[in-house]
This record gives sequence, structure tokens and C-alpha cells, in this order.
Amino acid sequence: MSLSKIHEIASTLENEYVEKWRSEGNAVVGHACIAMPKEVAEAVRILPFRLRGAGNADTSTADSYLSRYNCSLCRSCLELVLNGSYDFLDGLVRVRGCDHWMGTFDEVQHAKNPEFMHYFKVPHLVNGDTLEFFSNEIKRLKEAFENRFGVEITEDEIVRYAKVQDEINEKMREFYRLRFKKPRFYGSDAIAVVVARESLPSEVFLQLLESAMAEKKKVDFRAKVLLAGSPLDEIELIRKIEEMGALIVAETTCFGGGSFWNMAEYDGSEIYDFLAAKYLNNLKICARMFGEYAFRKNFIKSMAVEAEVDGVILQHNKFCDLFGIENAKLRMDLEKDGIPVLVLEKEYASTADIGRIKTRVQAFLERLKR
Amino acid sequence: MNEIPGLVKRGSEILRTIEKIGKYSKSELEGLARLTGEIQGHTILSFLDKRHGDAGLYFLKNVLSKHVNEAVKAKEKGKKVILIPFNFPPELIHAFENAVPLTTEMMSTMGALALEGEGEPYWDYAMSLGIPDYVCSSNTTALGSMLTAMKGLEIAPDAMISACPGACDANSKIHEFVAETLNVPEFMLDKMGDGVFDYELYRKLFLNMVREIEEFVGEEIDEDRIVKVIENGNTCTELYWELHELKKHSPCPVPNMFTMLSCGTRFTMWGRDEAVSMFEKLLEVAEKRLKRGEYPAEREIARSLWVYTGYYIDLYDLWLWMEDNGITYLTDILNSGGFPQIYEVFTKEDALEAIIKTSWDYQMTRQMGAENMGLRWTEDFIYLAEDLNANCAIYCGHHACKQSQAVFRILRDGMSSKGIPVLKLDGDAWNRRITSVSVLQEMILDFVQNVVAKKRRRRRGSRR
Repeated sequence: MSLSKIHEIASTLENEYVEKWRSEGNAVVGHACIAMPKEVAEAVRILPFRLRGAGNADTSTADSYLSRYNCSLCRSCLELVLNGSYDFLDGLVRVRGCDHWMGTFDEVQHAKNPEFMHYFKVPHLVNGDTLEFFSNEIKRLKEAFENRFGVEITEDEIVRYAKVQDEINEKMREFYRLRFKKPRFYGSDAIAVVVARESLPSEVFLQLLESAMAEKKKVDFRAKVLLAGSPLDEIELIRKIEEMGALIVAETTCFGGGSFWNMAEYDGSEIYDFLAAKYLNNLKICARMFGEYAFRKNFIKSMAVEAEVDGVILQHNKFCDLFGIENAKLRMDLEKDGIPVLVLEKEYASTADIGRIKTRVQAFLERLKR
Repeated sequence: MNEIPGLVKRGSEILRTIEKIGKYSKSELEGLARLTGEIQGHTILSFLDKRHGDAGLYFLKNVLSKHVNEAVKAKEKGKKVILIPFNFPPELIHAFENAVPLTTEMMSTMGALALEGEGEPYWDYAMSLGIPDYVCSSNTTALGSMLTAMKGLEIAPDAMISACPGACDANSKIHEFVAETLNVPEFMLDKMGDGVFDYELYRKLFLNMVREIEEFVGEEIDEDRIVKVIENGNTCTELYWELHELKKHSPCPVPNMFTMLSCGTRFTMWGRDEAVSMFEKLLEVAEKRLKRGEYPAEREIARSLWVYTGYYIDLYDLWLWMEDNGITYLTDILNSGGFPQIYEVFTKEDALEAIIKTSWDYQMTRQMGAENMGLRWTEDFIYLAEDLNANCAIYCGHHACKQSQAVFRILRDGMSSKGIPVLKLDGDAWNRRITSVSVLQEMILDFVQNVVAKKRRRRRGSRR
């Protein structure tokens, strides 16, 4: 029951829990990046809600703002903002994730000019200077929330919610390990779980996750595969890939295992410095972080070993420079290390792509001799 | 592909030959151009066209050839070659005795304009490695060329710089790819926004980078040398703004191609004596044209501001052709986007602070490092349009440039609100296979004749 509820939440935007949350007078703020420190928002009952395309393939209005050379996930999200699907949000926190997301937020400001749109500056490098900057940036985010919503955020409350996040991250790792050796869940379930986490108050999500974990199933597959690359919330696409027999047992993507796997646990240190290190270090999984290619390659390799996969699918949306270029390099390096790789370039939520992708996956399974 | 040397090696040979060119008559020049392929011939005719005086040849001999050949010779002299992107001021590297800069985009531009097969063999090679076809052709071409260094066919950079991750994903990512593949160090900066704290971080990262480069090159920057570099930069800045002032005249006395010569100098030799001489030449030619009232067409119809880059696939059939048809190319983001300033410096520390400020506000880093890139881009170009009396704007629509494509709507709306019509072209600035020059000509002419010229007539009519 909980797993089907999670799927239901992942397939919609404003879910029943968000409605309840808002009816109790709490705010919801949209964002688009896993660098967003959930603890800071949740400490004053602001729900951080991650923007996603929710499978929307119609980008007709968004295309007149962005161009057809921009990522279809961003165009899909912009369309949903423009057509009012995200009107339940009380504001937005923008991050310069990539050229496409930066432009998307610029266009949101141009077209809708939301009352609250905070620019949360997330460095592209991890070192002492950027960590110090980011720690102050998290304080500025806290101040922006305080000023906009007339609340006061205490460090004690942030610490309390940091511990809640630790509990969730640990539970998520436990859930993921149920997919590794003898898989008891599908990859589509896992993506739905991550998407639901990004769309629910933490307490609600934790309860749903705990009960969903009890709903282990018998899973059929021909080969076990790891999914890496750009943000992917397309549960339907994962389902189609798995129907071919390529079971996704792990992901390093930010709508997958990458969103939490490397998150540090609260260690009692100064909370803003801790959050800066926790979120910036975890963000190394994203190709927008420079000087961290080795980290990402090793993360894929270690996950591949732990999950005992037969191969890796590196995917990206067309026009994604960051992952498009990185996937070319990863393919060269992973194959050199004996890991079979399939590179998939696709358009977001495009049903026209499905047939082509199925053929490629089928060929990949043959290559894996499965 | 394996047998073809890289862009720098091939370009350096040609440029060494060009260094030997004396003064040719028009017919000799045409003969020379006929000996080469169409594109290469057009490039020769463009650079040596008499409307440019001797500025074109000076650029080839003393700017481009020196830039490229110094990189080639650096290896023999034990100097380090530092690959820099278009959005990093080369003067920092010129401040070193034992390091030379090599600019990525200059390589691909040289390939597109001067080499047989243009940059295409390198682009094809990059495709064969799995680089997607939608990635910027300039960077992809440079990547293909750089990787031939693994077979000794190209000058391998000893280190690389990424000036602003997040301001151009393709550029930063391609640099990372090359650095990882060739196993060379990469020095990186990060511009987060326009605020005080953002600058503080950028400054710290820059100073750290300088220390790292000093250690890598094995040389501490000499105070006299870096001060001289900034002084040369200041002289260039003065000349640059004088040239800018001349552009306000109608018809414009500054030839279209000078925009490329100016930013080509900025990207390679700024801070050097050669750059000063280059700007002196540009100014001299433009002043002469002004004095004589010279303009290639009967009248100047369009004063076009190229809000992003130009096309580097055929100078003759685009920039010279435009001028011959009364269409002035006033400037573009690569040439005018950085608004160079004069810095009074006495010490090494002052000089470094000047370079940091320059880099922070450099063309495209300024716009794309802004909190709202679309707005900053629009504000800068509305300012330029008003300052230079532009009556239209043209966006080249380089199809691989995701960040400008993403916010073009903001720019267009802003320009339109000021009564400046904007043409959005669709093509690749470095790859002629995407949109042919004749199609671009047609679209530009259509726009100028049917939108810009009619608007001028209406305005004149309403004044009467």
C-alpha cells in the first residue's frame, strides 16, 4: 500500500500531503538542486519541494522562452511553471545548476516575476575557500527565509532536522541495499521513492518509506544495471527499460542514489559549516562540479561493485553539455576497466524515444550475454 | 585523422609563410587567393583587403603568428604552454617569463578560416570519441586537435585554466575532458554572482591560482614585468575606447572586421607591445577613413550590434559583404562585453588586483557570471545600442550556446522595448556545414531591407 502511495505521489506535483501542509498555514518553496539544505527550510516548517517535469512532454509555451536547443527537462519544468501547475509554491530558490537551469530561472523571473526568488549560490569547486563561502551562503538562505516568511530559524531546530535527515539517509541506504544482491524492488520503485522524498514533509516520507520497505517483491530480470548521468525522474522510462529485463539496481543520479548516498551524518560541529561540507561534498556526484571527475568515476565503480551490476547505463538529455561530455569520458574510462557501458541520449518524457531506447537496451543485454 | 597534425602545428606553418608576405598588388593578391581553397582564399582577401590598410597583415604577422609560434617554440625553450579559454585575460600569463598562453577559441577560429578541411577533421574526431554533436563546435574542434598531442601531432598544453565554470558549461567541461585525458593540471576559478562576498571568493581563488601557477612554472612573477604588462594593457584600453568613439560616426569609419581583430588581440596579446601597435594600426586606419569619408557602400543602412558572437566561417562573404551592402558590424559581446578599464598600478599586488578585476568583469564572464544572465546581457547591450546609435541587433544563434539561447527572449524583449529590432539567426559560428553562408546572407539582407530600412524610412517620414 505504501509503495503504491509513493508511486502516486511521484506521478503528481501537488500531492495530498502538500495540500494538508499548506492548509495548516505552512509554506512550500520550490528548488531544483540537491544542494538545497532541507534542514534549514524544515526548521521553520517550510517544505522544500524539488521541481521536476513529472513526465510532462508538452513544452509549447516554454519553447517561446527557452529555445529548442535547451534541455527538455528544463523546458518541461518551465512549462509547468508557466501553466500554473506550480502555483502552489510560495516562492523559489534558484541555483545555477547548469546553463539550462540558469536560463530557466531567468525566464521564470522574466515571465512570472515571483514574489520570492532567492539566488542560492552554490560553488562549482570544493576547497576551503568555497566551503567557507557556502557556509555563509546557507546563512544567507536562512535569512532570506526569515525575512520573507517572518519566522526565526534557530540553530537548535536546524540540528534537530539535520538528525531527521540523517535518519532518512540511513533508511534510504538500507532500502537501496535491498536492491543490490538479491533485488527485492524495481528501479522504478526506487526512483519513485526518491521523487516522493523531494515532494513530502520528512516525517511523512519516513513513515511511508518504512512501510514500503516491508513490501518486498519478487523481481524478474535478465541483467543488473547501474544508472548514471543527468537528472532523471522519468519513472515510466525506467519501467520500460526494466520490462526489457535490464533491472536498475543502483543509480548515482540526483533523482536516485546520488541524492543521499554520500551525505555525511551530523557530527556535532558548527551547524552551518557542517551543512556546507555535507551538501557540497555530496554534490560532487554532479557533472557541474569541477575538479571532481575522479570522484564521480570512482563513485560509479564502487556502486557497481557493491550492487554487483553487469553493466552501466550512462544517460543524458539531448543538449546537456555537462553530462553529454562527461558521459563520453566515463564510457572510455569505464570500458577500459572492463565495465560494459551503454550511452543513452534522449529527450525528456518523449514517447517517440521509447522504441529506439528499447532497441538499444535489448542490444546492450545481448552484449552482456543476458 | 591520425595522420593530420593538430591545429596549432598546421596553423603555425601557414602563419610563418604569411610572415614573409610583403606588399602585394590587388591582382597579385587575387592570384595568391586563387592558389588556395575558397575559404582560405577568402580569408587572405579579407585580411589583406585595402580597406583595412596594413592592419590585417599586421594582425596575422604580429599577433596571431606570434601567439601560435611562441607556443610552438615554448617547448624547445623549456617554457610552459598554458591553455586558456576566451574568457580569461592572457595578460596574467604574459606576466611570466617562462610561460606562454594559448587560447582555445583562437585555435578553432584559425582552423575554420585558414586550414584545408577547416576545423572539421578535429570535430569529426571528437564525435568519434562520443562527444555529442550539440556541444560548441569551437571547443569540440579544439578538443579534437589537442588530443592529437597524444600521438605527438600537436603542441600539448602543460596546464589549463578554466576561468568561470558555470558561465559556459561546454568550455569548462571540454577543458576538463582534455586535462583529464592528457593528464595535465587544471587551474580553476569560480564566479558566483555580482555581490561583495562573491568577489571576495573570486579574488581568493584567483590569488591561490596565481600561487599555484608560479609554483608550476617555477617562477615568481616579476614586479617590473607585470607592471609593464598592465601599462601596455592600459594603453590598449585607451586606444580601444578611442576606436569605440569613432564607431559613433555614421557611416562608421571602423571596418567591420576590426571587431574581430580587436578581440583577437584581446584574447591573445593584451599586455604586450604587439597589442599596443595593433590597436594603433586599427585606430590609424579608422581615422583615415573618417577623414576621407570612406565607406564601402553608397550609404550606411544598418548599424548592427551583434549581441553575441559573429560567424568565423567566411569573413569575406559575411563581414566584408555586409559592409559592401551598407551593413555595419558595430561590435559584439566578445569585443565589447568586457568594458575594459584603466588601472593605475605601482606594485605586483596592484597589478594582480587589476587583473582580478579585469577577469571578474571580462567579456562573457561579466554577463554569464551575473545573477540574472539574461538581464545583465540585455542591460549591457541596450547601453551599447544607445551609445553607438545602433538601429538593429543581430543574434548569431550559435546553436551550441545553451546559455545565450536560454535567455535570448529576455534580450529580445528588452531591445524591442527600446525600439531596436532583433534578428535571430540560426547557425554555427565555427562550422559552415550547419547553415551555409548564402543562407545567412539572405536572412541578413531580408531583415535589413524589410525591417531596418523601412523603419528608417518611416522615421524620416514622420520627422517631415
